[in-house]
Amino acid sequence: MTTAPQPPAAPRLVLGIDLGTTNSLAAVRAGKGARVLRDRDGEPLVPSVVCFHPDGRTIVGRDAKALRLDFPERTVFSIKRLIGRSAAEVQQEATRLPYRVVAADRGLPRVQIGDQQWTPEAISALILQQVKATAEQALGQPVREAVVTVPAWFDDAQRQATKDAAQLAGLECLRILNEPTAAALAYGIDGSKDGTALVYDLGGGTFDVSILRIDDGVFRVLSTAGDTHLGGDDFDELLGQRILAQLPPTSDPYVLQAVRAAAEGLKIRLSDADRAELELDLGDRGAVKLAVTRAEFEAAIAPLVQRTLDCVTRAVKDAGLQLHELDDVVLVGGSTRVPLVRARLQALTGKVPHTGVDPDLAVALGAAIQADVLAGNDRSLLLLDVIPLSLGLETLGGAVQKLILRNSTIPTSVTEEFSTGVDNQTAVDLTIYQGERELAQDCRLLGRFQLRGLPALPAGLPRIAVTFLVDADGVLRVTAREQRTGAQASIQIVPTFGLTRDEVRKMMLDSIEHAQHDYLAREAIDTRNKAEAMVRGTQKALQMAELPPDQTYAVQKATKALQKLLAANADAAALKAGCDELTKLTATIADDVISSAVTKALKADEIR
Amino acid sequence: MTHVPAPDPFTVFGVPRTLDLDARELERRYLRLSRECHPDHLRTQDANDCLAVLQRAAEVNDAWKTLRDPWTRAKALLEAESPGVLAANKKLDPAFLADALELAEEVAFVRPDHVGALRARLQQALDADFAALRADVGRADLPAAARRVHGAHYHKKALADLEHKA
Amino acid sequence: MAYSDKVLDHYQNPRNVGSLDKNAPDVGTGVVGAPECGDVMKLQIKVGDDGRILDAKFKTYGCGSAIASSSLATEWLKGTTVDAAAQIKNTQIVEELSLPPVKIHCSVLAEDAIKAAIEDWRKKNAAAQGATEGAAGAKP
Repeated sequence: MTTAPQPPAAPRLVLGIDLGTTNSLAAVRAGKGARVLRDRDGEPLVPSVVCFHPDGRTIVGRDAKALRLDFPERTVFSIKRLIGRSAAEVQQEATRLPYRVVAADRGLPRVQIGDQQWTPEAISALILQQVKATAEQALGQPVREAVVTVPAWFDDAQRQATKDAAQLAGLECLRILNEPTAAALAYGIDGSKDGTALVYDLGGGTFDVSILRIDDGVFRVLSTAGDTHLGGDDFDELLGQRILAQLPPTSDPYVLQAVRAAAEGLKIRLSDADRAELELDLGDRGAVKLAVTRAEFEAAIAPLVQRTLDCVTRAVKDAGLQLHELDDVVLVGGSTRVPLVRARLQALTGKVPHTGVDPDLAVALGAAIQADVLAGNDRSLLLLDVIPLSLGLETLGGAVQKLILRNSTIPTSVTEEFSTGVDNQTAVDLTIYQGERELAQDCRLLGRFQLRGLPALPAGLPRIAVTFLVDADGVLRVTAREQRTGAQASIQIVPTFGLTRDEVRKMMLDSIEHAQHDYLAREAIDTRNKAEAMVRGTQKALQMAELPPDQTYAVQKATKALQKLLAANADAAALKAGCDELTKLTATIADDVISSAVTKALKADEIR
Repeated sequence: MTHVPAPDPFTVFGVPRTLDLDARELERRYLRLSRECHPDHLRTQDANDCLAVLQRAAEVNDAWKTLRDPWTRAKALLEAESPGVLAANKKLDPAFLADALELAEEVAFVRPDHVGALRARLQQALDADFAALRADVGRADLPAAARRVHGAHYHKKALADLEHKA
Repeated sequence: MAYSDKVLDHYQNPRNVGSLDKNAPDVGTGVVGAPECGDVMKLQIKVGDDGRILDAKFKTYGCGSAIASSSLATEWLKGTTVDAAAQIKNTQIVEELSLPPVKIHCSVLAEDAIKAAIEDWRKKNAAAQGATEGAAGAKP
């Protein structure tokens, strides 16, 4: 039996993606390090902005950001602040956003654009698609797998929602990776620098701090702390309030957006200058003339900076260390460019922070390194991360019994045995919370599930062992086993603040319709690569194999036909037909001379 | 809900069931086991093995957490040698408890300039606890060892409260 | 609401905090602990000649429910008889304070402390009684 010649297996290519509040980008492993993937203009950052243009187009990235002022109610940014959360939780946040956020089924937030509603997952997916497209263009080949980063402080629901967004964007998410951990990878990549590092990651909307121990290529996270609602945007907000104070009270989205942009500009200038001036002319909506000194700016943001330092102190303590035991301090996130942040952190730790890697790029670069490890290409590195928030079960009376404590290295698991309270009870309800507080009402509800189909027995007799396992993504998996019957079940947790599996499936189908063009483009690249490899391989095989003349002729003819199609830039369907024809011919050849020769030739091609 | 004990961490790590284990050697073993068992390095395995791989990696991480702290290691040792011994020996000597209450009070009202001295005293008490525990285990008096572990918990808690205040 | 107002009230304004002279013959002292959570509870009673509890004091190191349980216990003890006090059950404390299941052990601790204090007082008393009886017996 012969097999058709197959193109050689290339090393698996997995993207590292930093899906940021403000900007997103992708990187891939390159040699000992990693490189970011840039668009045609050499720009690596894709602004995490989506504009739903009134003409029906969906615009993502830089072009969308440019439309912020033109269509403030139709331009979505900071979607990361909404993902995986409930409408009630984001209510206050939403009042500061120029676009509308409404509560939909199960209290989930949706972005209302005209008469359409969008989930945060779907909007994040649009950003991821843009990042993916930029990456594929830079690489000249399609990519299907990625490692996507999230703030370490993200809970289970936020992680799951981010995974769903990747899936909607046509990417299999091999790992949800914590941003500070990723950044540490980017710094410690040579693995030779053993020691203890503190990673301080202040982004646009979130703050994270992690303490890592590096031993001979093993990166171990000792502790992590943070604040999901603290970032450079809050600095902007404080400057924005000064600007708004000079304007008549307004909720005009145009004004809010213009003020936001002006505030960001002021902040950036104040990182280099001691004083910055602003003249903002909003036409008939008013005008502002303002000067801010760095001292004023720093006095305003000092309480926010202090909040980050409190987190640092806590993380160091949780790691069982003292501040002086840190070997390195690493800065990540654009907001660490603010001089006060650097000065205060240096004063606290006594270490000059590292700035060797661009803080905007470090997370994506680190994600690319982990992506390569997961692709199976690099076994010298290993990452051991932790779960940022404790997991617990609600007990009667509204208290939470902790099952897994925060900062436990993942994967981690715990098993508890449950029984029934009344005779012939066949189901037990369990409710899972995430958080540090003692009462359920102060923690985040992750989901409820039911142990069903228990044998009808007197109360207390059934024994159900439930294993709570947190996987390497920090996502909870639950399995249950009835001890007497041995019946086993994996439990689907109904997510409280995310998409159900059915919703993801439906959205996938929807997106396939929309993304048909996308898919065809990818298929075309795939088919072309395959056809080229077949032509090369078959030509070499013909030189090596000794075939009867008529068969040689037939194979040659089919090969030439395929070459012609390639030269004529034929579409995927035609190329596929050509490939199939050639495959059929080589497959009918009785002995396996040719296919083995083809395989050999392909291997030679690969080595060369 | 009843807690189902995790697999014996000494077995998971393949180390002898003893109270005193070399900290550096233990850590090296943990790093080596992690390299062998972590799902990141075993991604090509069959999907059916996935949960088993995760479970094994979790066992290694959880065993490390237990073994690296001498006191949790001691608890695991006692449970492994004599299941239920910790639960059966919770009743402590009232005089000891009265002392523990006084210590807690001292911690609660400690003057800032006395924190250092109190910390040193608590640390000494814990060291003495562990030495006594070692003797109990050496005599194979596991109920006494269990009470010792419970008693030390009060000293640890007082120390933690002191650090929290400081 | 997981914690009743009564728990919060006892926690914020604990009644009868303090100590009695543990060496006094009319004072019984009970010290008990829950090692897994590191709680300690000391409960003392001062008993009159008629077997009535004249005073009760406690010191508790532990969570709010433990403090509330012991505070409530001292309130109940004052003015009652030793025999009635010996009948106090932890379930009564659970009921009065509406303790959640995870905090039931706090009420158990309080019951244990009452029992230990009564036992201590009885021991002292029996010794004293025994001594009196002995002395009386020596009289022809």
